[in-house]
Amino acid sequence: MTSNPDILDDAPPSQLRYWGHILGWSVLLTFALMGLIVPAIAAAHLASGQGSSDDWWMIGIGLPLAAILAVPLKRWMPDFTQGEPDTPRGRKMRSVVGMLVVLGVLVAAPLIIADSATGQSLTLFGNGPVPALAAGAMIAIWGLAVPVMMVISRRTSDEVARGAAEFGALVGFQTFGWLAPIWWMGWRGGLLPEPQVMILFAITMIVATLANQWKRVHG
Amino acid sequence: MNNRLKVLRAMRNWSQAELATRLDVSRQAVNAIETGKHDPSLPLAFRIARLFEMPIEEIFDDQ
Repeated sequence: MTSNPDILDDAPPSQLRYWGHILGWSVLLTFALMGLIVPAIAAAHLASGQGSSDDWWMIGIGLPLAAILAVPLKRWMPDFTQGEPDTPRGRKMRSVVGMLVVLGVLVAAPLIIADSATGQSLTLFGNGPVPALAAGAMIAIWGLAVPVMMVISRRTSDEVARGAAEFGALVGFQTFGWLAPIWWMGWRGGLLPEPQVMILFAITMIVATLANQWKRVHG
Repeated sequence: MNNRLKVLRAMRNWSQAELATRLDVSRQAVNAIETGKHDPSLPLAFRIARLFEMPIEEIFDDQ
C-alpha cells in the first residue's frame, strides 16, 4: 500500500477560489493598466499644447496608483495551475485562461482610451454612444479572439471539462430561451421596460458559468 | 458506477496529479472519476485499464 498518507486524501480543487482569484487579479491588473494608459494619454495632451489641469491630475493619480498596485499584482499573481500537473494539455488550457485575462483588458482598453480622450464617462455595459473607432477596435478584438479561444479550449479540454462546458452552455441557452420571450412580451404589453441585449447576454453568461462550475464540483 | 481507481492509484503510490499526467487528463477529471461524479468514456476507461494492466471490469463495477 501507499507510503504517503496524503495520497488517499487528495482534495478536489476549489473552483470558486480559483476563479475568484483570477477575477480579482484581473480587476487589479485593469486598474494598474489604467494607471499607466490614462497618464500616457494625458501626457500626450500636455505635449500637444492642448492639455489642462485635469491632465496633471490624471498623471498625478494614475502613476502612483499603478506603482502601488504593482506590489499586490506581483504578490498575488495566479499560477493558473489549480493543482494540475504540468502537461502539454494543461499548459494549453492555462494559456487559454491567460488569453481570457488579456482579452478582457484589451476589450476594455479602447473604451478607457476613448473615455480619456472625450472626457466623458463611457460605461462598458451601458447603452450610450461610443466613438466609432473604439467600437470598431472592440468588435475586432472580440470578433477575432473569441472564436479562436473557443476552438483551442474545446480541443484541449478533457471529457470532464467538456461535459461541464456543455452542461453550462445548455443551461445558459435554456435560461435565454425562457427569459427573452417573457421580457419581450412584457415590454409589448407595457409591463416591462424595453429588452436590453447586454443584460440578457450578461444573465445568460453568468448562469452558464455557474452551471459549468456546479457540474465540475457535483458531477 | 463504482470503481477501484483510488485504491489502485494508492497501491502505486501515485498522486492524483501523477495519474492525471499518465492518462493525459486533468487532476480534476481523476478526482471526479474517483469520487463517482463522472463515469469515464469508453476510450478513457480503456486507457485506465491499459495503464493498470487490468481488465476494465476489474476496475469498474456497475453493480
